[in-house]
Amino acid sequence: MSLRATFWMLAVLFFFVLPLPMLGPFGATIPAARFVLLAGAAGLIAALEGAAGPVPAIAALLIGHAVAYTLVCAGLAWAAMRMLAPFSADARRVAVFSALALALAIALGFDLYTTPFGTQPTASLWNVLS
Amino acid sequence: MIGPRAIWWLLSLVISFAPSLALAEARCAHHDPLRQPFYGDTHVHTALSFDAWGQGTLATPDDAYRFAKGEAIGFQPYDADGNPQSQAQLRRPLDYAVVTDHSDLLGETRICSDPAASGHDSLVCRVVRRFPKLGYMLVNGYVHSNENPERYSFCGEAGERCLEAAGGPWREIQEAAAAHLDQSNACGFTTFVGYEWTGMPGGNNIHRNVIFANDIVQARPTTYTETPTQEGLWEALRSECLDAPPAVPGGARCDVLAIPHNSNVSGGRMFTIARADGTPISADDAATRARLERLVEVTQHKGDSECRPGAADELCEYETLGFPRMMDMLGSVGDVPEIPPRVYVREVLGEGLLQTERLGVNPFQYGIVGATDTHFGTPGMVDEDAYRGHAAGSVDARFGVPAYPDRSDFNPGGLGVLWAEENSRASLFAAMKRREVYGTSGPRIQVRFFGGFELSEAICSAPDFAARGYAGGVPMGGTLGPNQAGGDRSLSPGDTAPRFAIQALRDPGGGGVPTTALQRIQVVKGWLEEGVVKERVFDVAGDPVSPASVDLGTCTPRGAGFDQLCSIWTDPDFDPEAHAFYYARVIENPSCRWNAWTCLRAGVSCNDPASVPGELAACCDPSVPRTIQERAWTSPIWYVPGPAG
Repeated sequence: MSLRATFWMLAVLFFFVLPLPMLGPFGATIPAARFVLLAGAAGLIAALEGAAGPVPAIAALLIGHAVAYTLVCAGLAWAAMRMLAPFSADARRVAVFSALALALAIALGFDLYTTPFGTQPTASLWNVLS
Repeated sequence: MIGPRAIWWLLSLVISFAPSLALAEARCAHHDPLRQPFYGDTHVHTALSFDAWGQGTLATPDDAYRFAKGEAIGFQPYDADGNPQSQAQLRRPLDYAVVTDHSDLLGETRICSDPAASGHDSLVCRVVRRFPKLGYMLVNGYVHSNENPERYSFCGEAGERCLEAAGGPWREIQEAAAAHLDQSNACGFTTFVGYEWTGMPGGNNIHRNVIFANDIVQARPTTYTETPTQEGLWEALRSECLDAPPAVPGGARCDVLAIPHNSNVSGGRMFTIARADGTPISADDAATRARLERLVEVTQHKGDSECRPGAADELCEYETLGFPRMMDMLGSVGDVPEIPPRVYVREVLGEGLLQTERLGVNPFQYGIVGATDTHFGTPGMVDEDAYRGHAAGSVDARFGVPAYPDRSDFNPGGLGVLWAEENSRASLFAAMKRREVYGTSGPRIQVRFFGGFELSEAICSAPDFAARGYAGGVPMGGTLGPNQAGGDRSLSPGDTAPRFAIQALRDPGGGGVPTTALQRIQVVKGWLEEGVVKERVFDVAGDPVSPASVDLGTCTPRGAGFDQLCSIWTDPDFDPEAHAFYYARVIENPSCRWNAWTCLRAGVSCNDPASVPGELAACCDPSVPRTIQERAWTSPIWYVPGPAG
């Protein structure tokens, strides 16, 4: 597996799976992808329906989280890629796919995420992204 | 001579007409011309309110009235099959209640919750259903906080789709009120049709609860979205209700009141002395306001609005909120402004004196009630020892019964007590209109308050306190003019000061509700002196330096108190030329606040911090008060130099 592929595989993995805390009083711990989903919903409503009252602040808060955590995921993937750089391509492939399988198994099998904005207090990856 | 046939005929006649004659009398069996206190809640939300439904509330107006009458109802969290996982029941039913769902978003809530409704699949409704808390923040904020509120596009041209959809819940509110109104001569329970106009421009709360006297109501409740100013609301209530002709000539007419609430988070925009266009209010404006706004909600779930914290009156440090605008509830972005003038009820009563001098009309002649503002559909759930929260966008009860049921700075709210001849709509509404009402922070303290020039010094020892009070003065909510007759009491030369008679009885308890003895009665006076509003608090009965306290280990009261207090008090600084108001405040001995009960029941030991679960961390926060001095506030009695208004 090339370094570029390693980076992208890990970046996508972190983006969809890594639980990340939301700043403020909400208590959410969700993957960056969910922040993008929430930011998209808030941004779309603000753009299409109007952005009065606290709507811009809420949308900005979520968009900020989405952007920042996407960059964090990329940064973590880059750091992991650098750590795996000395290893052979085969070794990297094994490491990346093992991490992927393990992370997905945990994220899909357990309610890993705290989701106060949703319809359940906690959720697995499937529910977070569906 | 009358034969058996004639007797039978006469008896038949009497039997046939007796029920209708009784109905025509329409008097309750418990009718008392000297009036009696009826306890209730004028501020109740159900699943018809967007912000209640968005937090998982499914209780209907019918459920809310059943709860008020003493039935157990279930509420959130609900399981996958829709069965409630939590249940509550009042230990002491209420005498009356008013469901006041938000008129704004009434139609939107119905559309978003009804799969058959056109607009159900709109982006906004999808987000609201998929991300309820996000939808709650976005939609509430957009509609209520907007200085120029608009309908969402799914409401169609000019919002017609949502306005039409609001017709369903508006009918349900009226039907529930009609169904639960006891029209028998037992007069066990009274309902009113109502709604809440939900303006919050710039995040500043200017909400009003609108309550109708009978079942003749507006065709559509007035909304902030279509009518975004207070003046607009009053004009709508005037033209669509007060001045509307009866449906049939000589028939019953519409009558209505508007009750402002939560001036504590109004940012100074609730009690304005200028119109929306910036011009000063006129005498006509003041008269319109005074005609409609007879009462103010002094206390409720989201804090107390009586008086400014930090004032010379130490008892103003009571259920205060640390933010000036409703929008700051979840935290603030940027600078939070200072609390401006004319926010608290006492300040506004004082402003009313100034405006009376300027305009000849007092726009702020407010009587006082308390209420809950429950969003669970649970009116009257005010007991500190059984508090479950009120779902005001704070602690989320959708997913489980919270161990710590509310924000530490919120509280169970209070009750509105109406002095009326009987528990009927006509009698209770008349009490509200003449302001012979008072508010409590929850306990059923009973308070009488009279002012007049003919009140006898012996009134407190007389068995007929009320009769003497009515005969010699005016009750709470009334207005006194100068002493024209001189009175029948012994007056020193030039003594024209009125007397005030106050009688308070402690909450008698019942149903296992813990009650606390009284500590003292105070009279709060506000007056004008050289164009400046002054205020002073007088201790007039009881023991202001009582050492009574409460054992926080058991929530058992310690020390002596009073089962009843009475005082006849004369203002020592009375100026017959100065406008003034007087209201009584009755204070209980300290008792456990709701958080102390919660933490006690959970067995929290702050000596062992590691044993305290995270959700109960507030139990060991020293900044959260653990005791409370519950209280009652009477409506004021005004003194007007010149003919009484």
